Amino acid sequence: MIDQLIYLMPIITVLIGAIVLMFQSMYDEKYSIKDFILVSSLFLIIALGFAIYHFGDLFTTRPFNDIFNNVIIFDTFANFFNIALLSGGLLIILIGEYYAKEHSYFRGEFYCILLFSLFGMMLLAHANELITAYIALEIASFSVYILVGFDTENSKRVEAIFKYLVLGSFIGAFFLLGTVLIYGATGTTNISEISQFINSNPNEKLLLVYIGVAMILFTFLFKIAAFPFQSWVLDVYRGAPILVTAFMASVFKIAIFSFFLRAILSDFITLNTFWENALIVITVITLAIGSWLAITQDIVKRMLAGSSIVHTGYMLLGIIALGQNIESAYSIMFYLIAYLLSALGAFGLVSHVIADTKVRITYDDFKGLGQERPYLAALMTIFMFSLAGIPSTIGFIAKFYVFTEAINAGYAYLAVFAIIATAISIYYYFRLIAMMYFYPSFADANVSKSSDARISTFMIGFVALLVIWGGIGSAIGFFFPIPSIDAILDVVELSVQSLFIK
Amino acid sequence: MHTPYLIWIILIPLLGALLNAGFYIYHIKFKKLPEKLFAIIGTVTPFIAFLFTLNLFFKLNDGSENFEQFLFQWLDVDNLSIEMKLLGDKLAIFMAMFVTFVGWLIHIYAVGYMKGDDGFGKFFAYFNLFLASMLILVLADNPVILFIGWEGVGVCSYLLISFHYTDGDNVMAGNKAFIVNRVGDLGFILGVITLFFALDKTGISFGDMQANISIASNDLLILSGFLLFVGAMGKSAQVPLYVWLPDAMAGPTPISALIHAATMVTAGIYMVARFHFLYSSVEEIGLFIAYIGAISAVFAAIIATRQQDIKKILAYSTMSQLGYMFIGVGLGFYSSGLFHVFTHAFFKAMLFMGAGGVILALHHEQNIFKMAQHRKRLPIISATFLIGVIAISGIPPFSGFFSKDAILAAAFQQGEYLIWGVGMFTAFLTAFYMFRLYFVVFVAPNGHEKEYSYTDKTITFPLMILAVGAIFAGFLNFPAIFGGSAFVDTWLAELNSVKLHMSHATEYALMFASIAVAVAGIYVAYKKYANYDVYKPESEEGLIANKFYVDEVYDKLFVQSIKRLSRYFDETVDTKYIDGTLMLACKGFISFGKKLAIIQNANVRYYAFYMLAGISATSMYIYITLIGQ
Amino acid sequence: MGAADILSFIIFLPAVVAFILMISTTKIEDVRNIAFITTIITLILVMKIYLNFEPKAEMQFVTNIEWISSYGINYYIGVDGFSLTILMLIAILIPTSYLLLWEGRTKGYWLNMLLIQTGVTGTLLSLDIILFYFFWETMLLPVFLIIGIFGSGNKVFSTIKVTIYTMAGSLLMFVAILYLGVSFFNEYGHWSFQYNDLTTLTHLGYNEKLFLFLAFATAFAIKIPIFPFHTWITGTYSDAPTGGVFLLSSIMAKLGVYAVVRFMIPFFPDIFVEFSSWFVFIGVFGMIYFGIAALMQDDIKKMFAYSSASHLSLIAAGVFSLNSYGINGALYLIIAHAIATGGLFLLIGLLHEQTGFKTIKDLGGIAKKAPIFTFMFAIMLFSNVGLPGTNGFVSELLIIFGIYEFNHTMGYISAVTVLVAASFMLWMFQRAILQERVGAPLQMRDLRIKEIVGLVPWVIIIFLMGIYPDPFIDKFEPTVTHYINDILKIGAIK
Repeated sequence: MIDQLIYLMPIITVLIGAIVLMFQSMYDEKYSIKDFILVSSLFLIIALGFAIYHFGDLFTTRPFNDIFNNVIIFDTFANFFNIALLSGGLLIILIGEYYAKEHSYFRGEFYCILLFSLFGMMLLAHANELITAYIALEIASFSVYILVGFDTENSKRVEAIFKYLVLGSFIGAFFLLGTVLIYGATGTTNISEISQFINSNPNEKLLLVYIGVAMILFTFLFKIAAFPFQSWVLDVYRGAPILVTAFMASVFKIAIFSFFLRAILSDFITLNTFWENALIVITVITLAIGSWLAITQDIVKRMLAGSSIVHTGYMLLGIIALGQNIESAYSIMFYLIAYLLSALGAFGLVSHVIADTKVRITYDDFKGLGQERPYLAALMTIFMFSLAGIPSTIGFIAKFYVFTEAINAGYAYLAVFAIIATAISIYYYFRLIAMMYFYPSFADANVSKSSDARISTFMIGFVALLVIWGGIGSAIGFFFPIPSIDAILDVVELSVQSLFIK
Repeated sequence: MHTPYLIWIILIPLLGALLNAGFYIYHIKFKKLPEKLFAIIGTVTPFIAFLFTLNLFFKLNDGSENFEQFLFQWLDVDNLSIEMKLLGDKLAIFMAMFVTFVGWLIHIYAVGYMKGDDGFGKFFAYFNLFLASMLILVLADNPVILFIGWEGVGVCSYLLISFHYTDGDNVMAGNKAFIVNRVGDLGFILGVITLFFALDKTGISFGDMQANISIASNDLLILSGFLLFVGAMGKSAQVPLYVWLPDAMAGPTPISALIHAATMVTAGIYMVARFHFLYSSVEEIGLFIAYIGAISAVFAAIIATRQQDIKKILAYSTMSQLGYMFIGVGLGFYSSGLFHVFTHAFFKAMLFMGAGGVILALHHEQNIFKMAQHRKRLPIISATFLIGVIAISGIPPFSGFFSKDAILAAAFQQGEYLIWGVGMFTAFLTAFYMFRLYFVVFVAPNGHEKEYSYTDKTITFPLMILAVGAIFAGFLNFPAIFGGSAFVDTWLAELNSVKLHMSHATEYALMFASIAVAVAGIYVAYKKYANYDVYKPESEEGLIANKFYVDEVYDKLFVQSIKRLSRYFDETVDTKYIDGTLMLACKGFISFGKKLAIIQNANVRYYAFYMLAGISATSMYIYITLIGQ
Repeated sequence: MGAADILSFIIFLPAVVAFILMISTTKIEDVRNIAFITTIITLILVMKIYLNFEPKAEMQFVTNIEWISSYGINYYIGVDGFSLTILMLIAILIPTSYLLLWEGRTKGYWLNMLLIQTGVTGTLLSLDIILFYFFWETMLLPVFLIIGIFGSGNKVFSTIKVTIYTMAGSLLMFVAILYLGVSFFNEYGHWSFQYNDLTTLTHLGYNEKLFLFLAFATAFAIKIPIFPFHTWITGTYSDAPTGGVFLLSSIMAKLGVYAVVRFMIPFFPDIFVEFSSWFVFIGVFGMIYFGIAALMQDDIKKMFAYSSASHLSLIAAGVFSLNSYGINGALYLIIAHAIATGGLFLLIGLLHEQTGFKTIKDLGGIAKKAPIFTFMFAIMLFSNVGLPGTNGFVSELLIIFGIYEFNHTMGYISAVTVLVAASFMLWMFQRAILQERVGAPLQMRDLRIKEIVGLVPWVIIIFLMGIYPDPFIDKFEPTVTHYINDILKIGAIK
């Protein structure tokens, strides 16, 4: 009983936390923003603790199966993503502390909804069945919709939420359609059973399944903003409060991958051959368009949005490689972590910078940050390097893995294409560094240096450390021993293996 | 026979150079030092070197075999093993001896000439360095080491020509000398390399090369011989690489005397003599050299007849005399060629010093007619100058006569009548323009001749010694026909590939002929210039006065075209084509991105449309693939 | 600390010091002195290595630790004849150059300088190609910052340009490296990126090799730079601060050549041998092309940019000629040119700082005001021109020998080098330094004692290596011989 319950604890804790915050936010005026941050992060930490309890061991269970009836599954894979999601959410909250303080519209509900969305995402990671997955996905999505449009005074937000909502529900319909088709073909929505059906039946009986899978993939592509579903990203990322943007760019993306990786790895992998070509085209165009969108932006936020499309492209590369060798799953998951850290850092830092001086929006506004706030600038540089995949940052190692696996799967030409995209990306990342260091600071920025010594900056610094460690790993263990990068990779392997324990 | 002395011949002047340099830096950086210090260091060191050489010379004369001194392994890569080794055979010692001797005298002369120049110490540092490099060149045992000296003298001449560097023209002349010499060096290096590989890497010292010369194919020998001679052209100012020599007169006179009369320019002849085994094994090149020499001789002589700058006249005469020497060595009469080098060193150095004396007396006036206008009485200088002029014109018993006559006789004997004829004509011209110079500067009447009291001892002393040399040096090689011992010929006999053997009658006839031409030249000069009205200088117009416009042609042909090419490379190829295309590509990429960003028109309807389009396209794809199955 | 660990210490000491400085002191004098002391310490350690190094072919002082075991990436460093020479060079050049770097007035400058030292040393010593790539890329970042922050003129553009340019090249190489690793994995069943393992690949097809080779070639050609990948240098060199130019020209460019020798040729010997004549040709052509292009430059730094490009092309040609003369000469010229060009750039930096001009037409009359400066300048210049007695001559001679043995015609062409440099160098010397300036004379102080002390070792090396080259050659000659006999011959057969 207890030992089964322990598996449920993380997700339950988050749910409880969400509800608690909901009640707490009824008496909004009583509590300051700090309290909400405190409570929410407290719950997240507890949940994290529960998740870490199983860290490192290999397992697959279906607790209270008579209740849940095999719709949700608890395994190392899900656990891995839980940890990623939770820590991601935690970092968002902590990094955003300063931003939230500065912006009046952040109230208790914000954190409540944030936790609800986290709850949805974790559920998604556990989902072993399409309907459940859909519900979880929608819980997460709707919470995010609200977060995006949280600040109702600001017309940009409203525009963003409107677009996101419309397009999101539009694509959600396809997910349902796909589910229906698959159900029609197989008579089940349970993933493992579907896979059995696929393996046991000849191709011509799989027509509906093919189409259904395609439909579901559309949702996937939309959520991770691949071509041709990338258009919403720029506007929504631009419109949303930057914390939410960070949340979407990093945490939400992970959640999406958590489910679809599970699906692809355990079931649809056999169908790979038929969507391979389509995916190749999509990947190439995604990379191209992403680069183009990112390189033409003047607003840093939009640039980051555009670049996130490019990173999606890299991960798609891994998805394609999956068909040939399972290892590329590791590389994708590693890349997710790398991107989580780098993007969180970058967005978070921007959020911190624009918190007090409302002007740091475009490239030019970053001029002279190097002199004004050298430490922030240094951190930003680290994140930019990581995003650009410069050695000694985690981004480099991630790219190394993804490209190696892609080449190993025989997609060398795609790797070349991706590397060209990387070369281009260096331009728009380094441009920001150039702005920060190569220009004198401009007049109307009068910020007190003291404002930097606070929780959010410390969190950012922590993330930066992680980024560096992830890039150097045990190479500097030459001087003093620290865990090597392989540690992450081992965990990743473990969690992927857990998928195949029947 | 191994001897420790050879290196000292080089080291001592080098030491002088270093000392002078060090003292000079001290002099300019901290406190002033007296000129005497530099002068002593500068003049004593060459003399010691000379004594060493003399010592070795007598040893050799007593029939000891060639000296050599192995210092260290310079380079050893693959089959290329270059030793830092010195060789003191008869040729080298012969050369070293008069180099050190004349060099020493000129050092002394320089003390007086450079008096009061703020670069006094620097001057002597350069001078000693020059002597040291020249001696490396002479004593080297293999072409690479020789080349080190070869380049060393080149650098020194560059430094000395552009000694008064604040005037751009001097430096320009220095550059010109350096670059043109580099062209020669290019040939030299390639010659050495070609020879080295032609002897399939059997060794690079002169000894080994001579031993293995038979391995090489004839064409390669010809090629390398030619390339080496290109080097000689550069150093010894032969057509077509002579252009630097006249401009080099920009430097102070002792330099002209030392570098461009006595020593450096003869390096080319010395080098050819060093490679005598190569040249005597390929006649064609030898002949080619002889012809180049003849052309240079007459060409320079013609130009000299219309020059007005006293030093330029001497420069051209040097070039023309070098031509003679090349005729000698080209035809295989190395001893005669080198003997002319020897005698020429004396009288030409003396002429230059004399000219320098006059120039000094007339406050750096170099145009002969202007000189004549403000003439001052300079008894010693004019006397020695006259000796020099006679010597160079080849009037017996002065030294020039013997050496030049031997060469002409050689040409005649080899049946190269064309060369012989040209040589005779040149002899005529030489006598003419030298006496033209003499008459205009010293004889031609001008109303009021001033008294010039002061002439520095250090200037007159070397002049007189050299005068003695100029008169009697000839007897060192007193022809057998007059019962002489022909000392130099026997001394350098081993080099010669051909012997002089002709009936006494022809020999007398030839001598008479050359004397006759010389006298004729003198006579013409006398008629024209002995009573020349120096207040009406000759015109500067005309082909000859403008040196056949060679400089202008070269300038158009090489310098300007390369400058244009340089601009083209930099501005057009690099900036426009290569970089332009790159930048264009980047701009194009970005601008296309801008266009593409238009689809991001923030209009949700369009977004939905894109998605639908994508979905339907994919559906189409699925449809096709599935029907395909 | 074992003998083997010295290398790692040499690599990381500067970086560690840099980090310590970053968080501790801010007094610029302290920073400068500490940086200088650090470099001196590294110099001493390198000396130790240089003396303990036996003139043999194989790797010495090797450290080989697992780094990313799941992909067989190791922290694998060591030194042989090739790297030793360049290591010594770097160790000597950097501290002495600190004495002449007047411009280091902020902390960041010195931090970056130290980081660069780590970068270049690491690049030089790493034998695992991923590690190599790691340093190869990271060494660019401090340079990026130095040029961008302390540069002059159109600095931002130049900085971004050079960064993109070089990174694009090395990223292509990155893919090629991964491809090699993967094919090693497919052939032997386990991952490894060590250079000696990768040379044993046999299953690669011709076209694969060709593409990989081209990828490598591009990366290094951009760094060196080889025609036509050179267009970044003029802008960068003229806008970069003295320290930046110094490091770029006299150290980093050399690393490109070094990488060619260390990795590219051993990986694809047969491809290389097949195309070597093209590369020699490009090298010789570039040597002449850049030389001519330099002639009419008015900005001295631009002129030197072209001139060093010209010399580097000659070095490349020497390496590509693939015989003992050529490679030895190339290595020798790497040292010679590093010293000469480095010195010239430092002196020009001083000149620029003093007079405020770096264009020939505005300069002149320097020799009168600053004789010692002129003296040093002349020595560096003569070494650069390759006069006998300086190390420049030895190397150029050897290279010409090498190219001649490779191909007679190209040998003849390559000898033009004795003209090329001389022509524009002397002309520049005349107009910028010697002859009187038109208009008011410039303010110019002569070298200080400190600066003279900094330059004297270089002068000594120039002449020592010029007059008695054999001992220096002996240090790396065995490596070269082994390299040619074992690696290339085998490769050519394979």
